[in-house]
Formats: sequence, C-alpha cells, structure tokens
Amino acid sequence: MIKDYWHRVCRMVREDKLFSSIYISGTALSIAFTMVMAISYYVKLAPIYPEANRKHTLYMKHARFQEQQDEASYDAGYSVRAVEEWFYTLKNVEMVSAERSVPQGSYVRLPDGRGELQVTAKFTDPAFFKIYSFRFIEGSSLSESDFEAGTLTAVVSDKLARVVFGSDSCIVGRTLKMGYKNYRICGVVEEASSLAEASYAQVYVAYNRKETESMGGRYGVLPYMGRMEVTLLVKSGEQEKALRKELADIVRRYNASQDAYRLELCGQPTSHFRSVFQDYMSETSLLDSEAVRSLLFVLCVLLLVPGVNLCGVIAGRMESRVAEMGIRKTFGASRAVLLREVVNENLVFTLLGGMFGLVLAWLMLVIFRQWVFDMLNPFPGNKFIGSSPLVSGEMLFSPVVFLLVFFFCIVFNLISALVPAWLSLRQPVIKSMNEER
Amino acid sequence: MIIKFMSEYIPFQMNPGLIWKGIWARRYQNIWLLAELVIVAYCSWSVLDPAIVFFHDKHFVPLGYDADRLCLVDLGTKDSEFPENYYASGQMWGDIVRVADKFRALEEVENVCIAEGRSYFNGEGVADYNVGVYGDTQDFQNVHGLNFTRGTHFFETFGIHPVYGGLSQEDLSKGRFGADAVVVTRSLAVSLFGTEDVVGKIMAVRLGDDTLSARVAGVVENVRPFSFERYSNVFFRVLPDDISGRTSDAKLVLRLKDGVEPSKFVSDYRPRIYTEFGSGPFVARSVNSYSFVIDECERLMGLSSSYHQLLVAAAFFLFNLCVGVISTFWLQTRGRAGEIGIMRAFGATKVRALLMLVSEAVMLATIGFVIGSFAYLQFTVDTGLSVGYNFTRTGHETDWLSVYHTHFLGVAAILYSIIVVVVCIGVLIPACHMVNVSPVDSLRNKD
Repeated sequence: MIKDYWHRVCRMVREDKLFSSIYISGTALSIAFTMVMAISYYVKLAPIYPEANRKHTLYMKHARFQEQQDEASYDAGYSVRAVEEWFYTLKNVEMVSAERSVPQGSYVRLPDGRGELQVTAKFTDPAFFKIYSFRFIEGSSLSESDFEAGTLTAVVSDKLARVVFGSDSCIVGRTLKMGYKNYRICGVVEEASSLAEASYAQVYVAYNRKETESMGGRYGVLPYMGRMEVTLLVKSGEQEKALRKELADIVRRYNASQDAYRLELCGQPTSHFRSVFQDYMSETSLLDSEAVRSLLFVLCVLLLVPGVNLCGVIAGRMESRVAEMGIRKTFGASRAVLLREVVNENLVFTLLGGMFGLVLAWLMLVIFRQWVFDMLNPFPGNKFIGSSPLVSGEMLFSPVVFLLVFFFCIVFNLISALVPAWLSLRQPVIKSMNEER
Repeated sequence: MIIKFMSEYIPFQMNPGLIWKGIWARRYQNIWLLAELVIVAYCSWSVLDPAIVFFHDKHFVPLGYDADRLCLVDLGTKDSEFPENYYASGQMWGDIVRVADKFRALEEVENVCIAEGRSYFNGEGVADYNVGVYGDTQDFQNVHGLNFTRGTHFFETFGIHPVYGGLSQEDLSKGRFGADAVVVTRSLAVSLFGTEDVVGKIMAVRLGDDTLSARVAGVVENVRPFSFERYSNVFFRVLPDDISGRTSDAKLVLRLKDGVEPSKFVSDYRPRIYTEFGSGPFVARSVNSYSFVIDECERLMGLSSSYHQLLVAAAFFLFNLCVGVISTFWLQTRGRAGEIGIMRAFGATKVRALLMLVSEAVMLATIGFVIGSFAYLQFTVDTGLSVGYNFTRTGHETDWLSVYHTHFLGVAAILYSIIVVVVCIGVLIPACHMVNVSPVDSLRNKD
C-alpha cells in the first residue's frame, strides 16, 4: 500500500510540478522554522554533554528577603554562610554545588606576555564535577583538600588550552594567570557547547570563601544574602519531595530566629525544565511564564498559518480529481476510505516537505547558529573567545528530533488536507461525474 | 465623463471599473484571498512598524559624532596591587595619559580621548537624569548626561561641533566654563527653553531629593548617545579636577585620520597593542572599531535579537501571503482559461492578459490592505504606534515618526509597496503559466 501511495505521488509530481513545488516549499519552510524552535528548546531541555542529569538537577539561584516593617524586599543570591549552614548540610540530596555568579568575563594572560584573553570562568567547588559529567582529557577535577585549603587550582577546557598553551596535552601542572592570580592547572576537560548554559565555562576554579563573602550585599544586616547560586542533584522524585520539606524547615527556622526579615524561596528549588521557561522568580506556574505562552503562540502560528494557506492548494488539487473520486464512489468506495487515501497521499507530500524542512533547519542551525541562537535569546551574553554556540550531532540527530518532525508533519497534514478533501468529497456522484476538465 | 476618460486613456485591462467587475464575478474564490490579505496586512503592521522605526532610527538619523572614524581601546592592569599613593599622587592618571600619548603618536591617529568611567557613546557611562528649567518645578524631563574629564580632547575626538557660546571644540574639551556649568545639545536647549541659544541660562538637575543648578555654557550639535534612540536630549558635564579621585576604569577613544579604515587599523594593531602600548601597570587589552562597539551594545541589550525576530516574522508572513496568492490564482487557472483564450483570439497580447490579472490582484491587495490598516488603526488609537527605544522622548517631537498621522501614512506606504510586490510575484507565477497556453487549447476548456 505504501508503494502504491508512493507511485501515485510520483505521478502527481510529474503531472503537476507547480502544485508540488508550491506545496513542498510551503511545507518545508513551515517545518524548518518549527524545527529551529523545537531544536533550540530541545537543546535546552534534553540531556546533552555534560548536563546528562538534567532530569534530576535542581537550581536555587535567588532568595527574597522581605522586610517585615515595610514593603521593601531584596532579591539576591546566597552568601557563603548560607551555603555552608543551609545547603552543604542537606541530607535529602545526592550532591550540592555552589558557584559564584560572575557577570563579566575574566582575563587570562597568555604565557609569553603577548596579550590577554577574555574568557568565561566559573568559581565553584569540587561537587560541580560530580553533578556534571565532564570528560577529562587529562588530570582530574578540583580536589576537596585544595578547596578546603584555598589552593589556587583550575580546570580548563581543551580549546582554551590549545589557544593559551598551543596544545591540550601535558597541560596539568602548568600555570594559568587569571585575574591577577596564578592557578595551577589540575585538569583539562572537553569543552561543552555554550548552549549548555548551566555548566559552560572555559576555566573552572574554586571560589575563595573570604573573597566571596566580602562581595556579598548588606553583609551584617542580611548575613545570608550574597552572590552564590546553588545546584542540587537528587536521585528520584521522592528524594526531591523530602528535599523540599527539609528546605521549608530551614526557611521556617530562619524566619523564627529573627523578625526583621522574612525569607522566601519563591517555589525553589527549580527543576531544570521549569528553569528553562521561567523568566522571573514570581512565575510560580508554567502558564504564568511569558516564555511558554510565546512558544505555544509561535508554534501555532508557524503551523497554522502555512497550513491554512496550503488548504487552497489542496482544494485546487481536489478539483482536478473530482471526476476520479466520482468514479470510485460509483464502484462502492466510501467517503471515509477516499478521505483516508487523500490524506495519506498528502502525507507523503508533507513528509517530503518535512524532510527538506529538517535539512533546512539543520543548515540554519549549523551555518547561522550564532545569529539564530542570539535571535532566540532575548539577552545574549558576552561573546568571548570561542564562545560561539557549538551545535553537535547529538543535538541535531537525536531520535526525539525525528519524532518531532514526524509529529509536526502529521499535524500540518491534517490542517492543510483534511478540510478541503472532506469538502470536495461531499459533492454528489452525478455532479462529480459531470465535471469536465 | 469619468468613464469616458477612463476608457480613452486607460487600457481597458487596467480600467478600475472593469477590474472590479471581474473581482466581483469571482467573489467566492477571492473572499479567502481577501481575508488572508486583511490578516497579513494587520500582522505586518504589528511586526513591521517597530522594525521600520528601529531601522530608521539606526540608519537614517545621524549619530552626531564621527563613529566611522573612531576606535575604542580597552585598558587593563597587569597587577591588582599598586604602590602606596598610586592613585592619590596622580601616578595612576599619569600612566593612563602616557598610554594615550603612545596612541596619539601613531601616524594613523588624529586624536585620543580618555573616557573615564566608561563615559563614551553607547557605553555604560551614559547616565540618565531628570532636568528642567531652574525655578520651574513642573516641567522636568528625562535626558542623558555624559561626564568628561577636562583636557582629554573629548569634543575634538568625537567630532562634536559647538553652535552657540563662542567656545571652540578645544575650549569645550578643556572645560573652560567651570564645574558648575554644562554643555547642552540643540534639541535639549529647544526642549527646555524653547530656543537654541540658551548660553547663560540656568538648568535644574534633579538628583534624588536635591535639585542642583547648572549654567549652560555652550550649545553643541545634536548627538545620539545611544545608536538606537532617535532623540538627542543630552548634556555634558566636566568632572571635578581632583586627580586623586580619578578612576582606573577608563577606555581610550581614538580618532583616526581621514582615509584610515578602522577595520584595517584594528587588524594591524591588535596583535601589538598589549606589548607596545603599556605604561606602568596599565596595558591596552583590546582595540575594536566603534561600529563593533555599537553593534555589541545593541546585541547585549537584546535589540538586535528583537529586530531580527521582527524581520523573520515579517518574511514568514509575506512568504505565506505569496503562497496563498499563488494557490488562489492557480485555482482560477482552469476557470479563466477560456476567458484568456477569447482575449488572445481577439488580438490581446500575453502582456495585456498578464496586466489584467496583475491589476485584479493589486486591487484585491489594495482593498485588503485598507481594511487591515483600518483595523490596526483602531487598535493604535489607544496604544499608539511604535515609538522605538527613546528614553528622552518628551512627546513634543515633530519628526515624521513622532507625529501620528505622518507616521501612519509613511509606514502604510512602505507596507503597501511590500505587499503589492509580494502579491504581484504571487500572481505572476500562475498567470505566466495561464497565458502561455495557446488560445486553441484554452478555448477547448469550458467552465
């Protein structure tokens, strides 16, 4: 039967090249745009290197300290004290990692003094490398002993190693000068794509407790407020529930211990899925999120508008097949059978268009990736050396991507073919037979 | 008389009355295309109006300074610790000045300005203020303010020309008017005082709960501190002379000589500046052309992404309109083959037949555009048309984009042209196919 459809479609393409090219190009454009959106969100949501545990990763980036006397509130990260007293002692968690937010890039000095590079750096702790599955080319991650002692060690990406040292091997033990400090390199990792925003950096160093604490705001008035963000890894949904209870207890104890400020976590810890769509801390449900509403609206427009448009093309096609349908009805074919056949034939066209659309989407994502991802990101970050988004094979050729294409093609086919085919098949047999070319 | 005129001087294929009759005769086929045209017109307004405003503001309004001759040098220090009194003694500032002098000595460089505290156009140092006429507590407005350091060739480097006040660029840069005076742009002068020559008048600057007075020492040509803002209500203020209070967070703005390409200058000197242009602990980290600086500023603020989103959305709608037009007119191919055959049999050329079809499509596009625009007009009566990114807008501006009816008509003309072109392309594809069928074959096909 599939072979039959294929032959019929080939015949239709030969007979009416104009119709075929219009339909396939219209479908290809719609599917290409839809897939660009879908792949860009897939990259943010699916497990990709090194964020293989996204499903069980939770984030705590902010805390709100609400003044009890008036309506002033302070939204910020956590201080080192909060990290050590509240988060590092959590029981219902597999791993806890804290990092200091760094809005601007850091400067790395080239060894021969020939210049400086601005790079993306993360000031974190050894648990970071247990949450994210980095592939080490050489050496190992930051060690607990070095972290406790405050020793200046760094893990660098292979690309940065090649730029700075001219090679990514025999780097361990060498010195990297960054931000006026000399770091001993203890490991070299395969660089992640900058699209893996939670883990991407070119240099990973341990945060210095004293230095970080001195950067915190309102220290003394709000000793638990600072610039740290916390990432948590749980092993299951039950552990996550227990974790939330434990954090609620911490909040309750803090609020009971003083009456000047009230701590609110605003629904945190946030799952990875939720964090992709959450623009503001106040958005407690997915439907509140502007990002979700915009995405749904855009997907509807990208599928509906061309789909309805191409209804006209299908209607024209059906006009030329009215006599054929009439003859088949006289031989006993029911309307449902004919409708199914027309829709299935059209599905082949749609799949052809979908394949072209997918290839077009891949080309756009590979060749114009900086432009595409900047366009989809309302606040793109600084472009430091080597931070052009890397779109890897696992992002483009994942089975989920192909399933999504197939799903969108089915939806598109139904939108564009079902109504005109159904309307055309409603005509009485006699009228159909009397239609002349 | 009108009909006689039309029939004498306008080819019958383009006779509006005849075209309308043709459209009305096929109203059931054309109603879908008309609906699509109305929707596309409406959507194009909401998408292209802000895009046109942004494009106009960025490309058609002069910046007011010579950005195409400027480069920006980023300074850094090799160490974080300095000798005692390094700042207070003026050594720090002296090192920065020496770095600037090294660049000034280059044959490609005409002048150098030290932008202290990132106080340069499209930089973080452009601050927002609330100013008014001193003594009048009512009418305060938002403006941008830029500080500059005395004696750092600010006005010469950027190429900002004085208009009133009798002071030259050099005089303005040397700040020979005191720390309690300011230099304003023409537009700010008119906006505050109703006239351009406001030298000697007193401006009020609101700082928190305080209101300070500032004497206007000079008026300069309009400049746009941000490339994406249309209006240029700016004032310039000289920083205090206290060397010990100077910040190490400074950049250098280089004015290149006429004929020197900034991109070539950047590629020639980028590999060398770190090693050859330092002084004391200060080094020149990077150099970029000013157009790069402007583009990066717009990108980091998300403006470029918004603009590109609008353009992609517009292209998407217009492509779908084209496909819709093609499909509708293709549907009509069979029904009108006989009509075209008869016309050709009576001597009409292919061009005349095409003209008839295109004229019908253009009339349909016109009707759809008018309805869609009218619907959008109702929406914008309350919300207004796009104003772009204009912090210093007062509401009294008179340029064509600020006045409602000229804005509407101007953008309508642009949108109408785009839609007509797209519709014509959409019609020509099936129409060419239609008119190329021989009259004998087309007359064999009946409705």
